[in-house]
Amino acid sequence: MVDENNYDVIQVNYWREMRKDLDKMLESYWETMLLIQDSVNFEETISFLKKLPPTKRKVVYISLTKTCDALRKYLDDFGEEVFIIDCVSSFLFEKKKTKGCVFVKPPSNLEQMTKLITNAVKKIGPGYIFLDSLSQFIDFSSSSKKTENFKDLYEFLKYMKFISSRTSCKFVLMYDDKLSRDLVKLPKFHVDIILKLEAIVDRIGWID
Amino acid sequence: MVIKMASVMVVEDNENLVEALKNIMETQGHITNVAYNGEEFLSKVENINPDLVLLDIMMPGLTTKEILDGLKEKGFERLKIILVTAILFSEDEIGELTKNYNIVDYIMKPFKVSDLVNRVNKALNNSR
Repeated sequence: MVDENNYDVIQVNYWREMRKDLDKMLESYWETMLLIQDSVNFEETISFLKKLPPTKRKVVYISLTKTCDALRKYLDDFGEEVFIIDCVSSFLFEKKKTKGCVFVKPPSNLEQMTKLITNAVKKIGPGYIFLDSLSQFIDFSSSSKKTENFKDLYEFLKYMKFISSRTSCKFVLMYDDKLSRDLVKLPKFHVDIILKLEAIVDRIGWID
Repeated sequence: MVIKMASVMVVEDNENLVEALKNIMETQGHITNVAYNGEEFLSKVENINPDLVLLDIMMPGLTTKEILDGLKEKGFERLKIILVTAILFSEDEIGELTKNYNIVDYIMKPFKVSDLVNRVNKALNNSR
């Protein structure tokens, strides 16, 4: 039985419905966005990414959770030229050279991820970098035990802002929240925007 | 469906998930052994000779392809494998995997315990 006396509110997150203001917010000046989403409803995430203001430069999609082949069907009609950095296929497949995609070993920590991003920025000069996803490195829920990771995360986010200020490349850092856990440890002061996408799924009955 | 007790091997680098998978399998009456990476798995597999392997895809050390090829080299090409993964593959890629290796199923993390148990039981009951 839960002893309610031992529990107390440790944090309050404020959420607001902002569909009407979304375009205005996305057009405003920002460098880094933390996008909390549920990859089970990935199509909704892609729909959101398509709303971002267009860039004349390429978009780089760094994938730690989906193969390039799996991503193609979602990104084919993206509207911008998307270059995929596939960090997972090399675990299982011998991939041949593919146009618009490069296969690399996955970075095992945020320091290696920083190097990968720095290289991508130098070689491709993108307008956006989508990172899918930050949840491979960090857990924002209260069950997270790796508190030391947060220092690395803050350094990483600081560096992303630095790159953005130098190159005008914007970063959308996805965070997969499949389990809809509490988000107690959000890096509120280290990113410009935190946005949570919530897809409500239900059976649709017949409507006469 | 009658489920006989089987030998299941859990190959996963996340200690919490290893414990969880081990508990689930043992609750089902299966003898469960664990390995925390591909090297450890390949060094143990001959002695343990499991009926089924729950294999994580992203682990440090050997890649999953190297692990699966290593199994073939050891003569375990018919050993049933369920991939436990957070990675999304295309249908073509899943087809390629099942064609080249004895991957009988794959389950996405996070998973429901009942779903895992059903898939394991189905894999153990099906002969391939």
